[in-house]
Amino acid sequence: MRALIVGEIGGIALAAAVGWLVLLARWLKGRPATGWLAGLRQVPGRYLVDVHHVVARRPAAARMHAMAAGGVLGGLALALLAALLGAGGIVWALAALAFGMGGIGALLVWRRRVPKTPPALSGGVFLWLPAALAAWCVGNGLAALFMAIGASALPVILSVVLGGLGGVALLRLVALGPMRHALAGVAWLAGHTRPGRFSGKGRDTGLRPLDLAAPRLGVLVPADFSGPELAGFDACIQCGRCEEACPAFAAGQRLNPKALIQALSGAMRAVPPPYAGRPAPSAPVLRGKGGMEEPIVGNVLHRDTLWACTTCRACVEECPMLIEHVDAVVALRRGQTLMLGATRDGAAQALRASRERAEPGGRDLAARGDMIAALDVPVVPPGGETDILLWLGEGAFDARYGRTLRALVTLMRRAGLRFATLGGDEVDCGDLARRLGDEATFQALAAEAISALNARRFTKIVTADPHVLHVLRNEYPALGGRWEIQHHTGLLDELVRDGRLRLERREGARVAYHDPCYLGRYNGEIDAPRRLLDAACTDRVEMARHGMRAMCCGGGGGSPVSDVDAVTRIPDLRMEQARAAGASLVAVACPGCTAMLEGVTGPRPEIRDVAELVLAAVVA
Amino acid sequence: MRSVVLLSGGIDPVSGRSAPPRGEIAAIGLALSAGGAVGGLHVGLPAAALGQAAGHGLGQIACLRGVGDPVAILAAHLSAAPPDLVLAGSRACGGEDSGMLPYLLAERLGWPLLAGVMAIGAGADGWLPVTIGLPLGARQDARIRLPCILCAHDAAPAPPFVFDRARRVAMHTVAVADAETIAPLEGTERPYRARPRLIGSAAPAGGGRVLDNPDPAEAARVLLDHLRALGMLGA
Ligand code: SF4
Ligand code: SF4
Repeated sequence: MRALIVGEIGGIALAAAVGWLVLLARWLKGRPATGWLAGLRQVPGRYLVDVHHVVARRPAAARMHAMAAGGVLGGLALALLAALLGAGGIVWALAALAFGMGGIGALLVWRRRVPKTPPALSGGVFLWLPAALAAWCVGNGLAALFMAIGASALPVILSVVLGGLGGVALLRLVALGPMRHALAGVAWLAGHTRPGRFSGKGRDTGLRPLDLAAPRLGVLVPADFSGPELAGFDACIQCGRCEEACPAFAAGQRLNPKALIQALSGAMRAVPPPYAGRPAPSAPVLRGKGGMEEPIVGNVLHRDTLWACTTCRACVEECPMLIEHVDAVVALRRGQTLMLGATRDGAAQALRASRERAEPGGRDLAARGDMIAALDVPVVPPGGETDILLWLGEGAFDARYGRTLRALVTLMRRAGLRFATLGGDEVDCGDLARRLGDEATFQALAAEAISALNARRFTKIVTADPHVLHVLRNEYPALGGRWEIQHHTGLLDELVRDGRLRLERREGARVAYHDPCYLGRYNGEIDAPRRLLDAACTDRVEMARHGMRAMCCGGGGGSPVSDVDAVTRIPDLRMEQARAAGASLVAVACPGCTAMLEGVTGPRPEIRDVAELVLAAVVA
Repeated sequence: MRSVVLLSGGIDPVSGRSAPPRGEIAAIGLALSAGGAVGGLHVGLPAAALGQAAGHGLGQIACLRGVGDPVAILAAHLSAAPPDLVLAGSRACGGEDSGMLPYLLAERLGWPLLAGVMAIGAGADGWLPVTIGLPLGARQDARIRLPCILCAHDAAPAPPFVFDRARRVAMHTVAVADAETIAPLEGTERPYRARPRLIGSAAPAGGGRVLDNPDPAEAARVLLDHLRALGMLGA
C-alpha cells in the first residue's frame, strides 16, 4: 500500500517537476538573465512575506489560498514522508488533516465562482479547478486516513485512484492556465526583475536604461523579453485585481491589464489556451498565431492597448503575483517606437518636439519662466551657486499651473530660502519620451539636463512636478546624475515643521487630496501633503481610493498625447470619486493632475494645488 | 527609379537646434513612394540634422566635400551619374541655406522643376505624374519629364521617424573638385518682426486669371496690376 501511495503522489510530484522544466525550457528562449536560478533560495521568503502581504488585503481570498495551497502541498509532503519512512499512524493522521484542510480550501475555491463568477475573475477551465483540488485532497486524504487506522486494501486503492485522478487533473490545469501560477510563480519570484521590491528594501519603480547599441531595442516578439519576465506572464492567476484598479479599463479604453498579461503569456504558444476573462473594452482578444519569434503587437495584442496605459502602477500595486505590467508595456512601446516608429500621431509630434526643441510641447525654453516673471526668480548661470535649484517642469508653460508655481515661490520667499532656476537651460527631463518608449530621446535629454545641473552648485533640487521628481530621483542615477530631490510638498512640510512657515487652518471647503501616482506609488510620499492639508484646512476627507491605492487622473505615461479611444474620461471618473467622498475641493500636487482634473466640465469641486492652500493659510 | 533627396543642415526655428526641415522629411516620403533606390545628398560636412533625416527613411547619405558654390558642386555630382529624380524641401531653415537652391540647380542642369508636390504616381515613358498642393487644400494634377527636380509641399505626408534607421544610416563623405567661389553672404541679423497682415489675401479673390501662352510684356503687366490690387507694390 505504501508503495502505491508513493507511486501515486510521488508520480504526480515528479510529473509537476518535469512540467516545470518544460516551461523553463520555453522561458529560457527569452533574453538571458543572470543569477536567475540562484534566486530560487529567495523564493520562500518572497512568497511568504511579499506575496502574502498583497494577498492578505483580501482576507477571504487569503484564507482560501492558504488552505488550498497549504493543504495540497502539506498533505503531499506529509504523505510522502509517512509512506517513505514507514512512519506511524500519527504522521498519516497529520497528512489526512492537511488534505482535509485542502478540501475545505477547494470548497472555498468553488464558493468563489458559485453561484456567479464575479466579472473580474476568469471562468472557463477555472470552473474545473475546485473539482480537481477536491479530488486530490479528498482522495489522498481518505487514503491517509485509512492508512492511519490501518484499513484494508480496497478502500485505500479506491482513494488513491481518486487522488491520482485529481492529480492528473491538476497537472492538466497547469497546461491550461489555472494551476500554472504555482509553477511559473516559483521561477518568477526567483528571477524577479525588480529585486528592490522585496524584504522591506522598499520601492523599485525607475525604468532601466536601454543599451541603444543593442541590435533589437525593446520588445517585438516574446523572445525579446527576459526569461524571468516570460515566467512572470505565465505566473498570472487571472485574479483580475489589476483589472479592477486600472483607470484605462474603467474608462473603456482598449486596455485590460489582466488580458494584456494573458495575451503576453499566450503569445509564447502557437496554440494558447483559451482566455475566459473579460477582454479589453472594444478590443476582442486577437487570435493571431503565437510563437517565440512571432510579432506581438497587432498579432495577439491590439495596438491601442499599448498606448492607453498611463503607467500609473495601480495594477502592479494590486498584483498578488508581483507582476510588472508597466515594464512590459514600456518594453513593448520601446520596440514599437524605436524599431518601427509606430507611435500614435500626437505622440509622434510630442517626440519630435522633444528631439528638436527639448520640450514635448514644442515651446521655446526661454519662455518657461514667463509665468513667474513678475516674481523675479534669479537664474543661476553655469558655474554659479545657489541653495535650492527650483526645477519648473513642463507645467510652467501652462497659465493655470503658473498660479501654483507663483504660490510656491511666494512661500519659499516667505520662508527666507535662497533659490534659483536654470532659466533657458532647463530642458525637458525626458519623462514623456521615456514612457512613450523613446529611450534615445530620453537619454539625450537626460544627458543634457545632467550636464546643465553638473555645471551649477546647489544643495538640493525642488520641483512641483512628481514626474520630474521621479525621473531625477530614480532614473537619472543610472545615467550618472545624483542629487537630493524634493517634492514641493515635502519642502513645505519641512518648513511648517521647523516653524519657518506658520499656518492657520482655514474653514470652508471640504478638501480631498488626490495622490499623484508618481508621488505616491512611485515614491511612497503620501504623508507630507496630508500633514500640510491638515495644518491648512479644517475639513479633510479621503476618497475611497487614496494613498498607495489612489486612482490615476489619466495624465501620465503619454496617454493624453496618444489620444486613444475611450468611452468616458479618466478624470471624470476620478472627479466622481471626489464627489462621492463629499469633497468640495480637490487638492492636487502635480501639473498633470491639475490639468486633467481642471478639464472636467460642468459643476464640480474646485481644484487647488497644496501650495495654493498652504499660501492661503499662512500667517507668518 | 533612382531618387536623390537633397538635405540641408537644418535648424529648428524655435530652438535653434539641428533638425531636418519639414519639407525635406516630406521629400523623403515622396522618394520612398516612388520606389527604387533612395539616397540622401548633402554638400558640406556631416551635420546632426542628417542623421535625424535618415531616421525618416534614408539608408545612406553622401556628403560632398568641396569648396565653393554648392549649386555647382551638386550639378557636377548629379550630372556625373544622373538619377531619375531629385527631391528637395521648399524652404531652408538654417545658416546660409537657401530655398533658391533647387531652382538654381534646375537652371544649371537644364532639368524641369515642380514645387509644392504632394504626391507622385507611377512614372511611364519618361514622364512622371505628380499632384501639386495649392492653397486652401486644392490639388492639381500635372506631369513632368524625367529626370526632374521636385520640391515637396510642407504638408505632404511625412514618413515616421525610426531611431533604428537613424542609427544605421551609412554616411559617407565624397571628396569632390572645388567649384567657383561665391561671394560670402553679407547681411545683418535682426529679431523677427511680425509683418502687417494682408487682410483678405488668404482667400482667393475671384479665382484670378489664366493666361494661355501670353506675351511676356502682357504677362508682366497683369502680374503688376494684380500685386498693386493686393496693395503689395504701393499705388
Ligand atoms: S496580472 Fe496579477 S493582478 Fe492581474 S490578473 Fe494576473 S495575477 Fe491578478
Ligand atoms: S499602469 Fe495603470 S493604466 Fe497601465 S495597465 Fe496598470 S493600472 Fe492600467
